[in-house]
Amino acid sequence: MLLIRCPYCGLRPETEFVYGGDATVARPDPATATDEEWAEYIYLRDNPKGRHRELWFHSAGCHAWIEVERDTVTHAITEVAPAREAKR
Amino acid sequence: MNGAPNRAADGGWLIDRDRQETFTFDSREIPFHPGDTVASALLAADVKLVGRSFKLHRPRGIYGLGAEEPNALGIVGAGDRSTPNVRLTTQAAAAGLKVASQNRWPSLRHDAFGMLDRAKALLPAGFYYKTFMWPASQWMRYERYIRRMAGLGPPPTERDPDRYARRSAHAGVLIAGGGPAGLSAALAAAAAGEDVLLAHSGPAFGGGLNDVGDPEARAWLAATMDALEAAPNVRLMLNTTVAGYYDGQMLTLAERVESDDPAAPRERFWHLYAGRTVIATGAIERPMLFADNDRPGVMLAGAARGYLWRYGVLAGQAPILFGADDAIYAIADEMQAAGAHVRAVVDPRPEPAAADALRAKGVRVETGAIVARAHGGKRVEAAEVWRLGSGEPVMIESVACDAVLTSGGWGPALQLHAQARGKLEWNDGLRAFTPGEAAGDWRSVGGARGVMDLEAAKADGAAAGRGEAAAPLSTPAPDGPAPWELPKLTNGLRFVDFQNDVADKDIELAAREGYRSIEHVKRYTTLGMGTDQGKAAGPVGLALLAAATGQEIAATGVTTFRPPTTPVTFGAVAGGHFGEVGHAVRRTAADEWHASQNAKFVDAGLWRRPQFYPANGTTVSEAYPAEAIAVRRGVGVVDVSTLGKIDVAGPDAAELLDRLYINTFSTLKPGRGRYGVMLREDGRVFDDGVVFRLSPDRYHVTCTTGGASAVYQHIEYALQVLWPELEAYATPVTEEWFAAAIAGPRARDLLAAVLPDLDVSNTALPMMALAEAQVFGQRVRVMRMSYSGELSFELNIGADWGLALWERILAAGKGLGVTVYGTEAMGALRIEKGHVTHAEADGRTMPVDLGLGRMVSKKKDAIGARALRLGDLERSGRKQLVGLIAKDPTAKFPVGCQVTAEDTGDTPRPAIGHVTSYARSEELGRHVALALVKNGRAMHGQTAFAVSPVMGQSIEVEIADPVMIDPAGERLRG
Repeated sequence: MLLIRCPYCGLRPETEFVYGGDATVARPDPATATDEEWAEYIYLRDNPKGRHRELWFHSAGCHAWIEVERDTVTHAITEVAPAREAKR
Repeated sequence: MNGAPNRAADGGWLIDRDRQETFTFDSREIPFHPGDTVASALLAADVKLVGRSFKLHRPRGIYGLGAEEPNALGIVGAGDRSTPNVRLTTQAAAAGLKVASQNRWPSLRHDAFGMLDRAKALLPAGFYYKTFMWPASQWMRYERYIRRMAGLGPPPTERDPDRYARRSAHAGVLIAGGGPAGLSAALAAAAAGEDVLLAHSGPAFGGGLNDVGDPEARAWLAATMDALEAAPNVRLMLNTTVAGYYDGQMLTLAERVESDDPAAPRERFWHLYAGRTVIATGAIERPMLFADNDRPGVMLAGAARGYLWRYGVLAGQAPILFGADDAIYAIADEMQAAGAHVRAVVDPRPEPAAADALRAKGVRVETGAIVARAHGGKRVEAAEVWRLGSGEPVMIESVACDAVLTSGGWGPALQLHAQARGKLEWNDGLRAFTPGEAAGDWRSVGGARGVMDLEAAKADGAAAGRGEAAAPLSTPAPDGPAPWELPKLTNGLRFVDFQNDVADKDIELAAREGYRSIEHVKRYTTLGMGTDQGKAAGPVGLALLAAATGQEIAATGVTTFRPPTTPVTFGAVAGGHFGEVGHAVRRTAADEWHASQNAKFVDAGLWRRPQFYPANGTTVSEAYPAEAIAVRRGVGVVDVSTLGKIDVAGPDAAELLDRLYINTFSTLKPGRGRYGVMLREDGRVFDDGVVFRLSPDRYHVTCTTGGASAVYQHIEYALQVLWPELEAYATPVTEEWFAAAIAGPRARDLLAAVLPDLDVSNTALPMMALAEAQVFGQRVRVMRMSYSGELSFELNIGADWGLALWERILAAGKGLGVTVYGTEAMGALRIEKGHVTHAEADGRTMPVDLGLGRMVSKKKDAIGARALRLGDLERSGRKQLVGLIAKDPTAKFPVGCQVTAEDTGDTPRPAIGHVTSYARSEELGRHVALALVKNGRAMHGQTAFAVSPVMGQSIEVEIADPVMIDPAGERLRG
């Protein structure tokens, strides 16, 4: 089980969080995006081996969405920040 | 000691020779000294036969010293405290303990299924799969008999009276294993000031230092323990197995609690977060391979050494030692010194250096020779010794003995390293897999890494304790043949998995039948699938497969290691989390009233909700139609507190809701409500509910019971991830409110009686209007909205006043004949009205499928709106929501039914759709359903069939508009 350092609550077990998927995906402009671009936004995700930026929701804590950088091989967490402050 | 002929005159580091107690094994009294295991006491008492094998019911004896034991499993304790499949090698002997052998009937010595052994030729690998699967319909019948013959111990039938506990903890350094390497690691880490936790699976630290007589080694152990016990930054845990290694440096520890306190738990299960982990779980000995190598009395040589030094027990009075390892000479010497008469040391190597020294002491040593077969039945009586040479092997002699102690070398205990997904490397020197690259902050040391020399293992542990990198592994060149390289010279099975009766020829058969992957061979032959996970002999089986398939052992690999390393009881894993406290139960404010009426409850997420009230009918199918029709004809009240409620406020609240819902909320007037639908970004319906605008910058959002937490999370996602520039705030407030809905033609009368000061007229309180009133000096929100399709009001009050409001409604409704209804009637009412729930909005349906297409605003973007315009999602032939009305008034919809156009009786029948929910409609006098049917909207009025081929049932139905009652909506606007 992972331990995630919530920027607001401190080090907490994974069970307090809900996984929210790839944090690097940006929502395209719906007015200009082609069908292909929109389909890619909805359906296609990379599955990187190594460092991965992802979203977690602290559902049993402060209700913050946070952006976590985690190594998908070692599960080492190298960075955590509030999602609202992340550049996307 | 009386009754313990194999107890040496002195010695035994772990036992207290001054005290003696007894336990019973089956009906026999077995003496022991405190510190003995059940296995060591049985060996001391010369009990060779301790169990029967799983499949062939062959007699089996104690084989190992600890967790690797495949044979000696027993039922420990009696009645509600009986535990089956306990390894007797790790079970401490205790006064009065009841231990029973298992998998035998009627008794261990006279087992009725022992004849299976003679039928081994008829029971090859995969026998059950091949034989009993035809005809497939009979498998269930065969299985009962097979299970009776092949099995482990029976589970207890009574509730476990003991208490189990769970704990979480952190440690800077976790050290798994308290042998020389683990103790050295602990000392070094402690000296560096780290927070150390040392967990050892047995009752005494020392590991291999307990298996030697060397006084220097014992002195080092004593000094080390003194230092560790004195160190304030070291926690020492005995009887604690590191059971699993999980992601994020979390490990599980299973602790058997040794305590006289009756309130203490029997076991504790730990979640331990380790800064780093040192794996010092030692090495496991492998046996040599020979025919009938499972006879009671055949044992690992290292285990025999352990019994001698730990417990002062001779594994045999007249043993033969067999191996290609100098250690067996030392063991022979030690046993001889302790009073045994060693019959022979048999070594396949031509002339090892250690041979002559032992010969000089008068011990027979046969070099260039092997044990080819063991003889005996319920105990080993002799071993065939054969000479290997340049020509044909020849039998020298069948040497009489009472034990064959065998060593085929040692391999690291890889479980924790492999569970953590560390790589494995084949080591040609050790002829074993050793831990390779670690993917995280852990390191194997000592025997667990393949460092078998004592001083080198201590140095390896100390280096790891200091956090240093591992020195390269130096291993001697292989000396003599590996177990799997020994020739098969006689008849008889050569077992490579004792617990599951897998022999060399099963592996060869699997290879002949085309199996190559070790994972497949494991499942086909059951190699390594027992409770011992093939710890001792499993590697020999893997090597045989490699040979049989012409692959390198390194390429054949190993099967996946999965937690736990040794069996953990369900009690320990469950801890206190079972029964009533298994999960949290959320109760509404009126829960105690529902309970007082003996309401039948259903789970809705964590909530418990009344399904129906026995006052309205004794069974659910009797009660709910009565409750539903009472609503349609008069008035009913239902507790709807569980529906999700979210307060959304802020200057951008309106803009936020416009982006969350397919329809528009910025145009909604304060004091009014509107039904809204939310989509997932892929255009599928996510949730729905009515939203009221409380003030220009504040909304009261409602959502489904089951969707409440996901909807709140979704709103926060929109606010924090998608559009952090929006200034709005969402607060989940479900629990703060109690909510009751009153519905039916007389709902207005009831509302007026409950809230006499409120103007309840249609002008003052039209459909989708919000009003506030006072009761008990508290604010009540009254929202006119309808789920049932009848005139209906939902009342919200602070949860503390919920029960009072509920009772006030019932009191006021007495004269009006108010009926309390539950979720089942609520479901029937909404089905009649074609209102969707998650049965219809099942994650695949889009608004247009559910008849909600016109709600989608074309003027704005919303989550999921863009996806609705992706071409493929608009193609024809999609399933559309329809109603189904049974033609026969007595016909019920079959459970889990499909919709077909024809009722030809043939299968497979092409389905044109499926039923999502159904109910008895008292109003229509028949059963009705909602269904998703291909192009169903164009089929209203047509005949179809609701069919369950599984149940063999089919009913004729008319496809209808999903709104099957009051399509114009006159009742709810009345």
